[in-house]
Amino acid sequence: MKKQLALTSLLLAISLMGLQAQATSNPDSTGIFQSTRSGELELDSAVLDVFQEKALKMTAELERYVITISQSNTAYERALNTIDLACLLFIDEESVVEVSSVNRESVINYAIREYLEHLMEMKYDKVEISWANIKYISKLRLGADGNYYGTISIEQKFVGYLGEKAVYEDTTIKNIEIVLKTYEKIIAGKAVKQWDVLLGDIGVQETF
Amino acid sequence: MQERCLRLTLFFLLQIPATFILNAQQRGVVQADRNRELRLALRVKQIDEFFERFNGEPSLAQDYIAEHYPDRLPIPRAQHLWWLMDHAMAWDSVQRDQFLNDVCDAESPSYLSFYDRVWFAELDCQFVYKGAKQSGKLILHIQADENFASKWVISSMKAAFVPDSVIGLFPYPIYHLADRSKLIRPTNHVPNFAGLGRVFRDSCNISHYFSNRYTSGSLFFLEEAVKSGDLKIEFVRSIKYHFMQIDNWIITVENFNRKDWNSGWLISSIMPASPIEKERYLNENLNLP
Repeated sequence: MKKQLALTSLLLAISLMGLQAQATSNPDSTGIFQSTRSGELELDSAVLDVFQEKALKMTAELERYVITISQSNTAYERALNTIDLACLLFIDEESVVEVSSVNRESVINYAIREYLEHLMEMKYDKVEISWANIKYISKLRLGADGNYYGTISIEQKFVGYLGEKAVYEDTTIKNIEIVLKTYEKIIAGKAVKQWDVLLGDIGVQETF
Repeated sequence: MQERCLRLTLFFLLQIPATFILNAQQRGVVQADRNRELRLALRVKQIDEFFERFNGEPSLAQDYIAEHYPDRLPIPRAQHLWWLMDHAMAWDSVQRDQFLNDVCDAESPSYLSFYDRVWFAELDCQFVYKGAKQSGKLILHIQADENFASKWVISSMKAAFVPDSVIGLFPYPIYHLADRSKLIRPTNHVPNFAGLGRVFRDSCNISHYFSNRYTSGSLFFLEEAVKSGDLKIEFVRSIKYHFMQIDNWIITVENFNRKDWNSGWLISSIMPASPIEKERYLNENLNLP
């Protein structure tokens, strides 16, 4: 997995050289209540494709881990290892999964490890996760810390079985933050900007 | 006469979404899955998608319609805007038509940008203050530097437990030299500001997450209460966005979670407003000086 990550990082490092902010200003002569339609990041479409592909791949990888963790036939040790692997997909373990429900006013925030451990307690015999074809992937945005941030919204149907019987199902929209974390690496004596794609906070909204 | 023509045009435009769905159903094209897919394509899933569709930029909804209903193209901007309004609301049709007309004005159309200075997120939060659960509001806005490196910052707070004595009495010192690593990510509105718990836990540095544009006594209170451990945040119950950059209008946008193609982040109110009325709105509704 690390090898794959490094390869993607390198690809991004090469192609993100074309990334730039379009800083067309629109001076406000009359006051502050004016639109300044500017500042959208322009990404080379090939770079955007790499980013989107990687982001979707990581999202799918997380869901594969979720299935493994939630099923009762997964050995305890393997489930714990899978939780460790899943946490590596995130920028850090302070990443939050925020869960809201249509029948509940309150919202529950879990740290990512806590969320996965909670899933481990569920123990369905079988879990099915299906995705709608429609996915919204936002533009990338430069953060004040120098990293780039994007988001993905996807609809997902989760069905948990005991034996052959579906005992739990929900449809949720998952709103996922994606972080392009930047760092410098010395290659042949030169500082080269490199990037990792990681997951940030996740909002889970139950839908009808 | 011209105005009557415009209103008639808008009247016909606004009928299109309903016929769009009905005709498709009548033709038997829209099956259960296709219905679900259509709902999801037209649902405004993120505020970023709201911007794209408000501005008439290429969007997921537009692509979906182009792929599945090419005979419906092109879709006028006024119709896109109408799709962004809450259809459960009994709109004043004269006011609505005037708003659509102003935004789509051929000479001077209105657009929204993420980097505009005058749009705000009003968060309805569940706090714990001195051990008791309390509701309150946090007001945030986007702060960007000259390179458009951006982050969300807290600009004020409203809650019954904030003493009146601090509001407006203490111009809060503005922090121009905030630590760059201390930020509410510019995308954190998408998972409903789930990262605010981290901000409140970073109590010693809470002021680094504050606006460098607005001073408010409520920030003085917030800093003291968080640093002393009296105030914690549990979750964000809901978000209302206030957009004030459209000439002569203020609009609010809220999330409507329902089984309908008219769902997600939609315009919940439109208000005509002069610059002076906007100043008053900032002060009275968002507690911003």
